Amino acid sequence: MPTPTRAAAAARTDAVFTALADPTRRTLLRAVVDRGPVTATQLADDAAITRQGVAKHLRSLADAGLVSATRDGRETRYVADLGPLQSATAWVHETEGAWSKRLGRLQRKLAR
Amino acid sequence: MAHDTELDDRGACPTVEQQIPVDGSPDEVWEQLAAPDGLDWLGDDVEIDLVPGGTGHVVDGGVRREVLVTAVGPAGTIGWHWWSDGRAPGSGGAGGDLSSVQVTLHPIGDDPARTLVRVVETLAAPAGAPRAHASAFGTSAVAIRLVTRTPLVITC
Repeated sequence: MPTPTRAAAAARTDAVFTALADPTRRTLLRAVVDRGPVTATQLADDAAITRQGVAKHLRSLADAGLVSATRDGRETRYVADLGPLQSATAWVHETEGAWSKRLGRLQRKLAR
Repeated sequence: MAHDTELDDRGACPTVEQQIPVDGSPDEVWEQLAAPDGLDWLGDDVEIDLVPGGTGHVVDGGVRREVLVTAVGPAGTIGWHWWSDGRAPGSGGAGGDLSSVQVTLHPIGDDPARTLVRVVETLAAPAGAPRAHASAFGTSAVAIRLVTRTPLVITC
């Protein structure tokens, strides 16, 4: 059955791709993967952007579920969660498979 | 078989692109696609009114998608939006599972009797202007026409 679950999965996929559309965010996500748990200040020291810029991008990544924040005393540290990437690639794989079959049917239908 | 699938890294929208060579010149293939039942290869149960703004459905692999045709011809192009949750895109709830498909025909350089069929499917942007725009219209036939007059745009 087509279900709201499909739609929800698609919405999650959208959020992931939107978050990863920006090269700065991709770089930032890699840094969180490599260095996490890491603070926004530490990330800003490495990247050529302000702490505010880092915080903004981290929010986008968090909205997509790609990073999560944990409180450590007075500091907020970020860790990466690459799970949501799977739902994004799942849409791509599912769609690839479907078109492969459809185009195969078209090719056979038109074969002389 | 189909090949040349890629994940588009240029924009935010996940995109799948595939192409396949088929028998027939582009004109002949176009004639076949535009004929009644010309799109039956899309699934097990296909009913599409192939005119701009036309509606229909495709059932494929157990998934039913509603279809809204966005482009037909003239240069061998067919475009549509489809979504699988039975509701018009942006009509609320969890949001439509909306994607945009474009089928185009291309001559194969040294072989006039063959045509390259290319398909690009792009998953729509998350909740944003296009869906919010469409959401005002609900799901009636009148709504579909209104939506068609101001086509949804994949923005990412």
